[in-house]
Amino acid sequence: MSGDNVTEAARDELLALQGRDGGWAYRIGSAPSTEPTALAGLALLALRPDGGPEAAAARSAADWLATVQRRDGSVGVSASVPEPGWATPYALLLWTATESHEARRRDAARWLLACKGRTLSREDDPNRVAGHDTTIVGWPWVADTHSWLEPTATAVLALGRSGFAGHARVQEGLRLVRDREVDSGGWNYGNKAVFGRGLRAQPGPTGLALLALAGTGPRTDAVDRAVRYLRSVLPDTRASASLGWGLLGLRAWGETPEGSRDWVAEALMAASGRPDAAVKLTHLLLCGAPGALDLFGRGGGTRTVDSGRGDSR
Amino acid sequence: MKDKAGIERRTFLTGAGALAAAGLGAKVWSDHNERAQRADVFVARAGSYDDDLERVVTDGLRALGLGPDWIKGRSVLLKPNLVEPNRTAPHINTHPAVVRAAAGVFRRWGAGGVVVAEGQGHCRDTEFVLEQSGLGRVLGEERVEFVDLNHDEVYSVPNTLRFTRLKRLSLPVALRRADIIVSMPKMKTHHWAGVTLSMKNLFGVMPGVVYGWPKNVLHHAGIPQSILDINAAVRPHLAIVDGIVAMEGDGPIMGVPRKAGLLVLGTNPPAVDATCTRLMGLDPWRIEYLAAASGRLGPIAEPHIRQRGESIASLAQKFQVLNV
Repeated sequence: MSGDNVTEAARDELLALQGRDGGWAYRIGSAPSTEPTALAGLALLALRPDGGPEAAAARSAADWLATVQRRDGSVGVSASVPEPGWATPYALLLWTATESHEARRRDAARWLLACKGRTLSREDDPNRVAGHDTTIVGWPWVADTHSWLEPTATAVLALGRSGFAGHARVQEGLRLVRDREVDSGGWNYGNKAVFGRGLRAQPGPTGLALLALAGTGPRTDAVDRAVRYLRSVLPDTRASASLGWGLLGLRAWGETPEGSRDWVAEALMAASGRPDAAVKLTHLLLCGAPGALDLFGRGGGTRTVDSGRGDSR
Repeated sequence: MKDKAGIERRTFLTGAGALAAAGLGAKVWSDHNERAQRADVFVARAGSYDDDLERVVTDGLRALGLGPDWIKGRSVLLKPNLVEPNRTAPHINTHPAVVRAAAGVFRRWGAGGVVVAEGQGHCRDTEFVLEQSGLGRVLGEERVEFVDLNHDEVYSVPNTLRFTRLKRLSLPVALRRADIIVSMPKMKTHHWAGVTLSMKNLFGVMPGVVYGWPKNVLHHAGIPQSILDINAAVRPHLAIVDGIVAMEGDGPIMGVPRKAGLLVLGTNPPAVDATCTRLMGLDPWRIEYLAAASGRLGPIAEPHIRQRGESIASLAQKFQVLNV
C-alpha cells in the first residue's frame, strides 16, 4: 500500500472509531476521554481543514468536550473522572481550532492561567537532589503537585494559541521547558537529573518541547541537541506517540528526516485494528498532516476552521 | 544519602549503624505483632535468561503448594516492572524472558486468560517502553494481550490502611477483572525507598491519568506510606521477582547491573520482599515500608518465613546502595 493510501485508510479507521456522542476512547469498549477526543479532532482538521467529514467529526468532538468541562473551567480526563484537569489544554486547542465554544475557551484559559505547579525553594532541597530549578512555576499533572514537562508544554501551546503567548505564565512555562533539558540533549518527562546523575531523554517529550519552543525565539544549541537526539532515535522508533510527537517537533523547526514517511506508514499499518488504535492513529496522522503546525500555533499562520456554530454556554 | 541523624544510607539499611532506626518511623510503625503470621517463600537459582525459566517458575509454584487447580479457568494479570524505556540498560525492567515463562506456566495450567499490564511512571508512551524493553516483541510472539494501566478506565476504593492522607485510591478496572494478580518486579535498590521489589512495583498499577507522570501525588503523599496503602488495596496474590540480573546503587533507573542469579516467588508480598532484601545483604527491618508492613500485611522476620528452595545464605550478596 502506498503512503497516501495508508493515510487515507487510517483516517477512515479513525473516523469510524468516533463514538456516537462525538468522543474517542483510549481503547475500544471504553468510555470517551478528553485527550484522545481532542487530539483526534485536531488530527482530522489538520488533514483537511476546509470541510468534509473530517471537519464535521472535529466539531462533534468539540461539542463532546464541552460536556466534560467543569464549572471552574477545567476539563477532566473523562465524564467519570472529572479530576485532574491536565487535559484542559487539549480541549482548549480543539475549541480554538474549530472557533467554537468561546465562553468555554475563556473559562478554560482562565483556569489554566490560575493553575500552578508546586515549587520547592532552594532551602527545601539543600542537597540539590533535583537537577532542575524547582522554583520555576509551570503546570502539574495534578493539582498541588510539582510542574512537569508535558503539562507545561501543552499549556504553553494552548494558551499561546488562545492569544496569551505574551502572558507571564506562558513565558515562565517556556523558561521551565528550557530549564528541564537533559544534559545529553532532548527532554524526558521533566526530570533532568537526580542525586547529580543525569537522566535520559525520550522522543515524545522531546518532540513536544520542540513544538512548544518553536516560534518563541531563535534556534538555540538546545534545539540543535534535541534535533540530533531525535534524528538518532526516531529511525528505530515505531511507537506511535513517540514517533508522532518527535516528527512534529522536528517539523516545527523545519526538519523532516529522510524516510520518515515510511516510518509513519509502517507504524500506521501496525496500529490498525488494535484495541487502542484511535490514539495511535491520531498521533501518526497528526505528525504528517498539512495543517498540524498551524493548529498548535506553530505554523507561522493562525488557521482555524469556521465551525458555523455559536457557543453553547 | 544521609538522613536527619547524619548516618549514611548503606549503614542504616544494613542495620550496622549505632543509631539504627532511632528517630525514624520504622520502630513506631512496626507496632503490629507478626508472631502469628507465616508465609512461604521460594528462592531459585537461575543463572541466565536463557535458562529454562518456565521450569523454574513451575517448580517454585509447586513448592508453594500451587498447581493447576489454583489456576484453572481463572484470569491472570501479570504486572512486570517497566520503569523507563531503554535498550541499553536491560537491568531497569523485568526481563521479557521471565514474563514469557510465567505466562507459559499459567497457560499450560489452564488459566482462563493471561494479560500483561503496566502503568509505567516515567514515560507516557507505553508502546515505546514495550518496544525498548523488548517485551512488546515477546508479547507479540506469544500472543499475550497487553493492557495499559495508565489509560485504563478507573474505579475508586476507600483507602483502608490510611498511611497516607489519601481518602480513596483510583485503580484501573483491569485489576478488578483479574482473578489473580501477579507482581513481577526487578530486584533493585531504590534511592528513596531503599529497595524496590514486589510491593513498590504496585506503584505501576496506579493510573497515570489520575496520578500523573511521574506519579507525583504518591511522592507527595509519601513513598513508603503509598506502598503500604496501595498493597492493602490491591492485595496481589503472587510475586515473582526477577533477580537474575538485578540492579544496585542508584536504582531504580541509574543503578548498575548486579548478577544475582535468582528468582524469588511467594504469595505474601512483605515476606517475599523481606527475603529479597536479605538476599541483597540489607536488613528488611531498616526498610520503612517493610517494617510497617510487618504484622499488617504479612511477616518479615526470618523465623516467620518458611524458606523453600535455596537458602538465603547460599545466594546472598552485598548490594551497593546510594551514598551521597
